[in-house]
Amino acid sequence: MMISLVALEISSLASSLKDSMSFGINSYSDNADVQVYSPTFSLFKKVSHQWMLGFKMRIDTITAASISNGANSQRVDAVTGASRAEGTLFDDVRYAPTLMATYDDGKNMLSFGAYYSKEADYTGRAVFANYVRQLNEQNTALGIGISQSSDYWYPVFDRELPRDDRKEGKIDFSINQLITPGFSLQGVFSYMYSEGFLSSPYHYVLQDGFARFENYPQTRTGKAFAIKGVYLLNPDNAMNFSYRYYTDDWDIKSHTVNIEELHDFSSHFTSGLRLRYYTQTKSNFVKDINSYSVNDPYFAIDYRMSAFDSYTIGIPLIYKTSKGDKVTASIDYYQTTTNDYIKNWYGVNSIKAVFTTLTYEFEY
Amino acid sequence: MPYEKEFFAQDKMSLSPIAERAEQEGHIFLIREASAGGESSFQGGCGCR
Repeated sequence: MMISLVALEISSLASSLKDSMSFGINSYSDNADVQVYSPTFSLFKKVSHQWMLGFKMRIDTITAASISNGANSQRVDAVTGASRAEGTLFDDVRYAPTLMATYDDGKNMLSFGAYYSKEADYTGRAVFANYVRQLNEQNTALGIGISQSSDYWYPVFDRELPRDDRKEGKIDFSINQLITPGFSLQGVFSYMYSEGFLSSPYHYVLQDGFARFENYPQTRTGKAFAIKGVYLLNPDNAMNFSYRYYTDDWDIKSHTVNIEELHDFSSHFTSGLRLRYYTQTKSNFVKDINSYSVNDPYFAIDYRMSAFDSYTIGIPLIYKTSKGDKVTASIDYYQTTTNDYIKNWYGVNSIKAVFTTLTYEFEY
Repeated sequence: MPYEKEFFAQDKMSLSPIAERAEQEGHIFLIREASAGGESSFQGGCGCR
């Protein structure tokens, strides 16, 4: 049960449309007994000099104690009564196709498309569009992107939700500026709006003889400001960095810093090291564990509504053949700080995860 | 005059050197953390958030 993200990176370079295809396999595994293996496929085909059609498919095969036991990974769940279907290889499988079209005349690039996602208890539908205008002899690029989703919950056990929909809208404004032949900066502002059933239908507060499912406010408005850059240190080394500030009306604020150094070991092989640090404050409605009262308007037990930090360290690998085919791979280790909510729900002090990607892409 | 852009044709000079990792970690961080945005990209929904 993951989220598909179609990255439409805004480049200060004039893009050229090319027929291309890729195959990949991604994985995610953590100490909360979640394992996800995700085959991916993409196909892009030019249909004219300026138009290209694209198709992407992602399949998430998921095994998770939280699904097979019910909502709680630590025990078979007496509150939800949910259980894994007998005889199935995975606890859940998510299918997520995306169709898109791109127009590019060298100065204007427009991409738009539709996304669909189907898993056992959730259906997602969305449309999106991005427009990029090249200016200043292609040293500057201005971009705007919008997306709107309309999703529905179908809990795997008999529970009537207060509402079963979730709608999310997002608009991004971006600017890319080439500073020097070896230094580029990008600024992004995002405005996000969510409405509907915004918590998990499975998480619940259990204390003092009463149980309550999580209940969050039904709307959420967030803003994010990000600055990113890439700098050529010397012909064989480049530094990639970013900073993001996020804030929303649930009073969650976060800072994210990412830095990556890449080195060309040969004309075919590039690798390096990436580091990421994330810190967030708690929401304004989460309470300490075991401090809820039965008449509270909101209940939150998910650690994501609490304050915590996380660290990521990873290794990227890029190999290009003489023909121009490309094999990319990455492995990253992710860990949160110790958190009482994680310990309460998952039975571990912190989330520790490893995620990998392996992709082969080529032009045809 | 436009700057020479030959360096930006190199993989190491991309803001997302590995596109598949950007997608993968984009949704992992969305699932494991409470923040979003700042990516100039589209996010489709799923039941993990």
